[in-house]
Amino acid sequence: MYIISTFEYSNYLEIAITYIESKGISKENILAVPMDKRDEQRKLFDSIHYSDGLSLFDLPMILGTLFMIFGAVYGFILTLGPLLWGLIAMFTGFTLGLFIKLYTTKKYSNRPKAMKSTEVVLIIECSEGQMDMIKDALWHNHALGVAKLDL
Amino acid sequence: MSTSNFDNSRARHPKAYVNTLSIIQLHYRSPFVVAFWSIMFPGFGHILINKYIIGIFLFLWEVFINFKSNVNLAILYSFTGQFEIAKNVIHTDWILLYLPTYMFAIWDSFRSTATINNLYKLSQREDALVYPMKFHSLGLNYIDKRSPWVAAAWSALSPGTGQLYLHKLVDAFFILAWWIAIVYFSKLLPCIHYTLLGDFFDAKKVVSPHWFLSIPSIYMFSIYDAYMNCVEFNNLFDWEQSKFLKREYQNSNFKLPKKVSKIC
Repeated sequence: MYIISTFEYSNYLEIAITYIESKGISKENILAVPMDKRDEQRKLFDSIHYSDGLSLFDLPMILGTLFMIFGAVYGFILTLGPLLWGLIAMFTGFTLGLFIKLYTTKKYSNRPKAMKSTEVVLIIECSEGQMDMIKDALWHNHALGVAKLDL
Repeated sequence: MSTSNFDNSRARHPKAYVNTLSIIQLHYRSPFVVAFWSIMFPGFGHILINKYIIGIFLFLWEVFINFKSNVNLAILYSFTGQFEIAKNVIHTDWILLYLPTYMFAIWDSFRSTATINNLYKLSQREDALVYPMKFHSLGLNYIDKRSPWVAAAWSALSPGTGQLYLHKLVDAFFILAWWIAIVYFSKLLPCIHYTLLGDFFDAKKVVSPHWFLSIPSIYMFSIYDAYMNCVEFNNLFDWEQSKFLKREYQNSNFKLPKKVSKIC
């Protein structure tokens, strides 16, 4: 019989695998299939959009910094002073940048945004008696899902 | 596979180098974003692309020459329409030295980023192994998964601590030290004190505008640097573990689930 489980990349995954091995399941009865990420292929070849997964954060930070500097500059002649105007301008710039970025990226991509996605599929071949031990080990190490397959 | 393949020096384009001070990593960066941080404060662009020696040198030079030539004060007076004071405040002894290195910092960080992006592409294709742990008599370092928002939040509370969370010690101590220096010289803390009391006149009078105008770039850079590196360290972790699993747990003897034929 087989036990199939899904994981995110983490140290727990390796802890689960090594624990199961230490309980007598041999390496050749464990199959791990790391999934390619959706945008990995594009990331490799797309040098124009620099799709590094954090471009959402770039523009808000850039506008936030620029606005903050000018907020501080004009704060010296406005009533509230450079500290408050700097902070107000920073939040304004950051929000503006975030809206621009969200608006423009929404136009180009319609991919779903999964919070916790399956990154590794783990298939373990075992006997009936080992099943409970393996299932427990997987659940204890933050498996996203565990299923039994008996054909 | 033998462990000798973990020897990074064998790879022509290793993707990352794990050492006890930090993890130096190749990944895509937008040259425009890097150039922007160089505009904000020369040296930051180079620190972002892990060229610490040039970055720290350019940063220190900027602190010195800006102080000597009063560029920050000139910016302040120019943007608030006090052009005569702006002209008088500039030190002609120093100002012409300011410009070439400023332009150099922007140009060189842009150019280097474009080159590093190409090297990253080569490292992706070479796909050489990276060993995820490093021990040293002064400590250890390892590729780990962390939360980008936690990193950004720590740097927002106290610039440099987000970098400590990521174990990027060069960035961390450099930013921490300069944050403390600039907070002190700009009189930020008395300014916060007066602002909270509603005494905006004294809040304005107590600060040193020259140092105060350096705060936005250092503060925001610290947050950006922490967030960005955290995301990339997580990507490095995923990549390394994925390579490990493919290497060790895809045995050709694994019997895939097959339906047993009912006839036999």
